[in-house]
Amino acid sequence: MVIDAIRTAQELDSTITFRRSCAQGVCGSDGVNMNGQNGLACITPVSKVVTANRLEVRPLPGLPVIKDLIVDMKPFYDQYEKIKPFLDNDEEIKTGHERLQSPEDREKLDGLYECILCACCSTSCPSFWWNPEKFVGPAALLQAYRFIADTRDKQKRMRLKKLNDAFSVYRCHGIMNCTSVCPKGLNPSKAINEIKKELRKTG
Amino acid sequence: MTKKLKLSLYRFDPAKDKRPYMSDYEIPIAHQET
Repeated sequence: MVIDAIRTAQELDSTITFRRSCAQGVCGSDGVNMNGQNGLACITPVSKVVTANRLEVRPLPGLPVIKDLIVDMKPFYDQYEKIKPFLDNDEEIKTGHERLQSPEDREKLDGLYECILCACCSTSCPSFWWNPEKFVGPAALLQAYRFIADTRDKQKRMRLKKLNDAFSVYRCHGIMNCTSVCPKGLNPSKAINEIKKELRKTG
Repeated sequence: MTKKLKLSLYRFDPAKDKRPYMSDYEIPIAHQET
């Protein structure tokens, strides 16, 4: 894997700095740009990204560099915070201790909740590079739709209202870089289109 | 069989570097990784 190559380089030069934790594609810490393509270094085989026996590893584009391959994730987390990534429901629970949901409604969340916030998608998006403070970005929009689509959440209208401006969602022009780089195989582009559909319905 | 990968890493330490640069390393990797 690419992470092994970076670690071997670090044995040669201990000043090389990079972020890693689980090393198995779960924590999302080691997102980097490998020969021009974003991905997780721990689950990307060298053979998948190497060209003519050369591999260039850069930090995720579009975020400020703290040191070497480590970027400042704050602009990314700021957008995530904006979409209120939690279930919002003030209604009293009528039975038991849980808000129940039909298996069919639960199924609608598949492909949305699995995001590990590695930022590979948002940092592959030119709209996020140019407008990181105004365009919410694919990762946060995927999570926005995860709660818009959740039948247990009672703030759908408010969530959509907050996204209904020229930048938050509509800066996405559907180039699908986000979908092609997602290491978890998710489809933020589709979720963004679903949000656009909902916005058209509500006016 | 071991091959050498030419690994080029982006380096930048704001405490001492004026601008970013690329640093090259030759990394031995297993044949199946290339």
